[in-house]
Amino acid sequence: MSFKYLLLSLITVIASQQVYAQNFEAEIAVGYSSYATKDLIRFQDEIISGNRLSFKTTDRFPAQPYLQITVAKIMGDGNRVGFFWGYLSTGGRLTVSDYSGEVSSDQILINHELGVNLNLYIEDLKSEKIAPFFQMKISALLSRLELFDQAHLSNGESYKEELTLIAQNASITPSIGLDTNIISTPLRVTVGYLIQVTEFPFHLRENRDAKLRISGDNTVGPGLTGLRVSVSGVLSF
Amino acid sequence: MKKILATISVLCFITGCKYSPSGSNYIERSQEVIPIVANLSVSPVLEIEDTLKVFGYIDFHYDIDVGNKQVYSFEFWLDDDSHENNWGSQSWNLTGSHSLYTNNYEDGEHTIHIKLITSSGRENIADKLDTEFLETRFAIPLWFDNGPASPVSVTKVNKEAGRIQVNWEMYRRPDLEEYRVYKMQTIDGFYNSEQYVGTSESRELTSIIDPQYIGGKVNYRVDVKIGHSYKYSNGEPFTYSGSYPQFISADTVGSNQLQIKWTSCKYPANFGKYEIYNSTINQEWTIDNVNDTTVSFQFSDNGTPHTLILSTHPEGNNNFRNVRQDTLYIN
Repeated sequence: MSFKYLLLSLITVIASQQVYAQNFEAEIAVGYSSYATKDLIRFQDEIISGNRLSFKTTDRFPAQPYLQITVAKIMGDGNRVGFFWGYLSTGGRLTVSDYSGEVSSDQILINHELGVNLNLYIEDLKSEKIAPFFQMKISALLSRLELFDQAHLSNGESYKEELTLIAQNASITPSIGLDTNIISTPLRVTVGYLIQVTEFPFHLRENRDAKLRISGDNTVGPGLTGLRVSVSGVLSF
Repeated sequence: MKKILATISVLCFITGCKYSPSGSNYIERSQEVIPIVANLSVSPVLEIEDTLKVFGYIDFHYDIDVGNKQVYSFEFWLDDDSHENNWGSQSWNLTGSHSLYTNNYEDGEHTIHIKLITSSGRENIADKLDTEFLETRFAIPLWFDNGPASPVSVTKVNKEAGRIQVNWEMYRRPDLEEYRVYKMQTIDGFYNSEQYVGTSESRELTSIIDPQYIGGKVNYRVDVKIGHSYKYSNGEPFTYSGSYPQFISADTVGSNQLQIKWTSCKYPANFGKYEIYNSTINQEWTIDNVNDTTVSFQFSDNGTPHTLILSTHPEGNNNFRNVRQDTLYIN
């Protein structure tokens, strides 16, 4: 959890605010996201059940901060159409240690999101200080799963094994949001729910047929469906 | 300036927000190693004074309990770990037996080893990752003895309940088949041919009663026969000498009665009878009471000498070599 980076980003975003311009805006959003990651949690359980080591799940894909950068065109009626890039990372860990050594199995999930968004303002509720809107995002989810197993023994021996898999999926994110200038600083608050609409599993980068599977021939996908809450600053130009 | 700050913030976020798991799960475990238990034996074997003596083919029996340990190798070794003495290996059965032909090796001290490589069984991480090994050895020192039989000595001959008992030292090597006891007696100062006294097929039974001995000088010898050789090993003779019945007097009793006396047999348990033969008058007396040591007969004092022979016989045996004789000449 890199809270210091989140804080630094927020401070910097706020400090970088300018008044709205007329045609384009750049939005930097910092938020918090949760994930279903059901497959990955089953994947962890599978590792534990098939292992002689007394692994314990210490990290189970917790909700993590995410970043999104959007460039949007401001339409004549004030609505926005833009494209965006988003980044988030979460992960899991199975680990055990005793006097003889330590073993851990990490699963790092990194997701890049590329897509388009549309902000439609609710004119009836719009005022000088607040402007509520509906937002719809359609995006491609480019996920990477880094599996990193390592063991360090007290006799000095150590073992490492790494494997990287990727997955590509699509999502939609219906959201509602609010532009506000109450504290003399233009901020945008958005609450949405990402729905992963495809379930393509992780596979080796060089071989799409080499899919990540667990028992029962079930494949493992990223499972990024979840809540997204963000606060963003907007830079108009 | 603010745009630059925004760019920096984005870069910081991207580089810093790759998730980094930090959980730990330390488990306290005992470091004790539960020892492997082995029940080992060799057969056939002779245990003498804490030494296990073997010969020929032996079977090495083992029953090993490794508990929760995983066995990686299980080997038999003779003496050291040199390749020449590797007796075999197996990793699938911890209970069984293994044969060895000891004649292939020099007589003397050897050691049979079991060399066992297992997991430590401590069930710690190193153990479960198969990186912690436990080498356990079990050894049985043996004495290989495939040589010919060696002799045993008679230790003593003692009088026991009216008989004599021959005692010899125990044979302390394997594969004893029997002890055979022989004796040679002197008759009239000359050794007679040897006589068989008896056999003991028990290693621990190292004494025997001579049921024929009724006195005189005798040499006892114990021979040893082992199973893997047809030859007997002859022991050194042991001389024993005891008195035998002899005439002690010839007295005139009454008118022309001559009473002959002799010493009684000192081994009454073996005693059979006295026979007194007067060759002059061709008269013989047989007496079966060991304590009845007199005989009288009519003696005509006409100058004719009488020759009397006292023969003492052991019970139930008429072999002349066991009969002791004494001669009395009366003029």
